[in-house]
Amino acid sequence: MDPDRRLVRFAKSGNTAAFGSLVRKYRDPVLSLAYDYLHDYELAKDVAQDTFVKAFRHINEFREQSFFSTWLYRIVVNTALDARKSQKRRKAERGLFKEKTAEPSVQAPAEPFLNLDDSVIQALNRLSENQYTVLVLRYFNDLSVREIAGILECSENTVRIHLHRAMQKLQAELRRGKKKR
Amino acid sequence: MRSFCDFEIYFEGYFHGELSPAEELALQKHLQTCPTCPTRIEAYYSLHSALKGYRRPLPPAGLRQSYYQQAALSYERETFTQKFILLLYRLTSSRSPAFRFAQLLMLVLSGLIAGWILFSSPEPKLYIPPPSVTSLSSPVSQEEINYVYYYLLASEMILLDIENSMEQAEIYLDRELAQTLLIKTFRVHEIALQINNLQLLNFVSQMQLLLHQISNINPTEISDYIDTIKMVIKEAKLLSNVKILERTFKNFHPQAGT
Repeated sequence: MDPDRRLVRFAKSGNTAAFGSLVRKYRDPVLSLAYDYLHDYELAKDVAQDTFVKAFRHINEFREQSFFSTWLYRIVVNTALDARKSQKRRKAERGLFKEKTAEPSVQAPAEPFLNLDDSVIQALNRLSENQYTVLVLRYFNDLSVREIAGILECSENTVRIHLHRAMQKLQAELRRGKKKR
Repeated sequence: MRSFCDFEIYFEGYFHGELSPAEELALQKHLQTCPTCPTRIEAYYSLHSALKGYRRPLPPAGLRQSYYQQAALSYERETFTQKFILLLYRLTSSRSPAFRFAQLLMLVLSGLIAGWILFSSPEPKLYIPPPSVTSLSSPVSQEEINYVYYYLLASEMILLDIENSMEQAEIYLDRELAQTLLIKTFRVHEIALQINNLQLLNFVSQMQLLLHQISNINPTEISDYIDTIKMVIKEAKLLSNVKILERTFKNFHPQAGT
């Protein structure tokens, strides 16, 4: 049974204090998950904030067929993916019109991933959107295959395949990196 | 040449302790006999450990505090629905001429909407529900069921690879896996005939054509053909069909390989 069920029911009936408790419970995991996609805490903060606004507005549409956390993570993933796309677009535009625009660049952290080799980071950046998503949820957020399938609304087999392919691709990229050295 | 092994897909679940006892036992048995899997699982484990060591840097000072404050504001603001309900409440509690006029206007509007819904022609349905899961009509051995199930899993893998290639600069296609699958296709075709499963038969025939195409394309020319391949997959609804078939055969798949 969903541990947040009671709070969700109260929140649905318009009890803002109950929703406040849910926000307090999930604000850190939501920020961390958004960071894993964007590697920029300022952008991650906006995504996390957006997530809670969306969740509050649509709480009555949550049918309680999954856990509240699954539903909330689905919102984070979708919002973060959209933000990631616009981040990439902005970067590309900045590259194209470097001389014309004087827009300040988004501050990237010195070390977006601690404890990971540069080669692994480069390989991670070459994964497809689906492969990166399952890897982030699985390894950086410790979610089970079932939970990931719930978040992405696909079968457990599909999640396993994406994971397997992501790992294979990472291995291949790492081997290629070693050969170059 | 690198060949695909049915058990590779279980490595990830094995390290996370998520395999069923039967699956774990089957994998352990397989590792004792397979010439390639022990090396692969070692490489897999080193990458698995590296990824497990991931740590995020801490948020900059002050960010967390401002984030907490903003997150708290997200549910204190009135949403559109709440504002609308409040407006309705205010309107109903007043007896002014403006309220009566609004009441009349709403009545006329609701009549118009009801008439439009009742008398307008229904829109054609865009969504056609997929065919229901079919059951196997004649018994086959467990080994054959497993064979088909692994074939379906590997087919989904190939199809997802093609689907994913749209988001990547480079196209990733496992041609060795395609060739291995093509060889397996003939036996799956026989099993489909044996159990008289038309859905599987159709799927195998379409996969056969697709695998032929993939196996024979020159790797350097693959980008020229990828759109055609994607169109074939979309038109034949191969991805949705493989998922339905996987569900059919999973019920007959209590163990991971026997």
